[in-house]
Amino acid sequence: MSNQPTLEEMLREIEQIAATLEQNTVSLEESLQLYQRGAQLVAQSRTLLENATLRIKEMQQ
Amino acid sequence: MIRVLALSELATLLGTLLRDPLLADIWLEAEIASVSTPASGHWYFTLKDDTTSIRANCWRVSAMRLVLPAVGAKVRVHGRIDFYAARGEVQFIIDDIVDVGLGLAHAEYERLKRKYQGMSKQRPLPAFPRRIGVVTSRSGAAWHDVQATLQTRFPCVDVILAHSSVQGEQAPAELVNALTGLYAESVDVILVVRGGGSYEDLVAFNHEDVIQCMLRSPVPVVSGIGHEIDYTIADIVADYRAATPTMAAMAVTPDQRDIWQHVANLQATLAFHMQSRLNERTQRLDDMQARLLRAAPAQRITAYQQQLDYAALRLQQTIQQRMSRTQASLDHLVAQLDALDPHAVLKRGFALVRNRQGEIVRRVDMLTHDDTVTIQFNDGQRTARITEES
Repeated sequence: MSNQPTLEEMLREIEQIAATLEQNTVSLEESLQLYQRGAQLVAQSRTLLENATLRIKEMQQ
Repeated sequence: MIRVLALSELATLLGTLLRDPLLADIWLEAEIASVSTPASGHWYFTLKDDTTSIRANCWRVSAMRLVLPAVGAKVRVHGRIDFYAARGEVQFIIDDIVDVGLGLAHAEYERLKRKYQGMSKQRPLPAFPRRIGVVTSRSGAAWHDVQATLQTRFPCVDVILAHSSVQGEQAPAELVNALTGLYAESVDVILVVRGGGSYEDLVAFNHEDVIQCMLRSPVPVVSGIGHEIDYTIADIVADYRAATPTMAAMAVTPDQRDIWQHVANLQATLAFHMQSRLNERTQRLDDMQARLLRAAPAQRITAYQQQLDYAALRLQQTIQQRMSRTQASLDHLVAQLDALDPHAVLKRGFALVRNRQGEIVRRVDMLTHDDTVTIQFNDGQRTARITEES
C-alpha cells in the first residue's frame, strides 16, 4: 500500500508529463516513454477510482 | 391491607392529584431549552432552570396568538400541570408566554462567541486528503451521512472515526479525548460533526474545553454541527464551518466525477502532445530525406550529365549553324561563278566568235573578208567565213 502512489500523486505526475511533452525538449524516444508512463498512470487512476471503497477504522481510545 | 395498583390506576390517581386548583393556574419562570414546532401547529418545549427541566406543550389554539420564544430565551409561562399517562410524564400546558430577557445559558453563549470570534485559523483544506479523522457519535445520523458522502464523492480515502458522545454531561470530555487522539493519528483533516438537535443538545460544542482543544489542532478542522441555522462556538473556531455533516464531508473531498473528467482531459492532452511530437518528427524526417536526396552522389551525377548533355547540344547547334552559314556563302559564290561562266550566256542563245588564232572577236574591225571564224554555241561549234566586203 505504501509504495502505491496516491491518486493525487498520479494526477500530478500525469500533469508534469503532459507539460514536458508540450515543451518539446526531450527526444522522441523519451517522449514515447513519457507517453507510455502517462497512459499507464491514466489507466491506474481509473482503476483506483473504479475499485475505491472507503477504508474505515475506528480509533481505539 | 396491601393494595396493588395497575399502571393505569396510578395514572388516574396522579391525574386526579395533579388537577389540584393550585397547579391549574400558575406562572413558571424558566429558560427555553428546546423548541419543536411540528406541522400540527402545537409547540413542544423543554423548560429548564439550573436544576430542573420539564416538558411543556402549547396547543395550537394558544400558539396562534403567541410569539414563539427562541431557544435560550428566559420566559415566564402561564398554564397548568398535566399528567401524560402514555409516557408517565408530568407536563406543563402553556396558555401564555412572556419573555423576560435572554437566559443565562444564552448569555454565556454570547460571551464565548465574543471571546472566540475571529480565532479561526482558516487554514486551507486539503484538495486530496488521504486520511480523514471524524469526531462524532458512532451511532449518530451525522456519522452515517459523512460515510455516505465520502463513499459517493471520494472513496479512495482512509477514514478514522474517533467516537465521542455528542450530548450529555460527559460529551465535552469525550470530545476533547477524541480530538486529542486524532491529533496523534496524522490525519490530513478533522471533521467535527453532529446531527441536528435542540440548542441544549448542541451545548457540548460551546464548551470551552472543546473549543480550546479544537484550537490546538495541528491540521484543519471542519465543523458540521446541527442544521444550517445552528451556530456553535465550535463553528466559530473551526478552520471551516460547514452547515451540516454532509456539507462538511463535501468540503474536504473532491467530487470523483470531476476527477474522472480531469483524468479524461489529461489523457486527451497527453495524446494530443504525443501526436504533435510525432507529427513534428515526421515532418522533420521528410525534410531531411528531401535534403539528403538533393545531396546524394547519384543526384549530382545526374545533374552533371544533364549539364553535359546541354553543353553537347549547344556545341552541335553552334557547329551546325556555322556549317550552314559556310554552305550559304559557298552557294552564293557558286552562283556568282555561274553568272561569270560564258557557257551560261551561250545557254541563253548567245554565241562566241573566235578568229583563227582562237581569240574572241569583240569588234567588227577584227575581221576582214574571207576570214574564217569559229562560232561556238552552247552545244558545239561551227566554222564560218566572212563573206561580205568590209
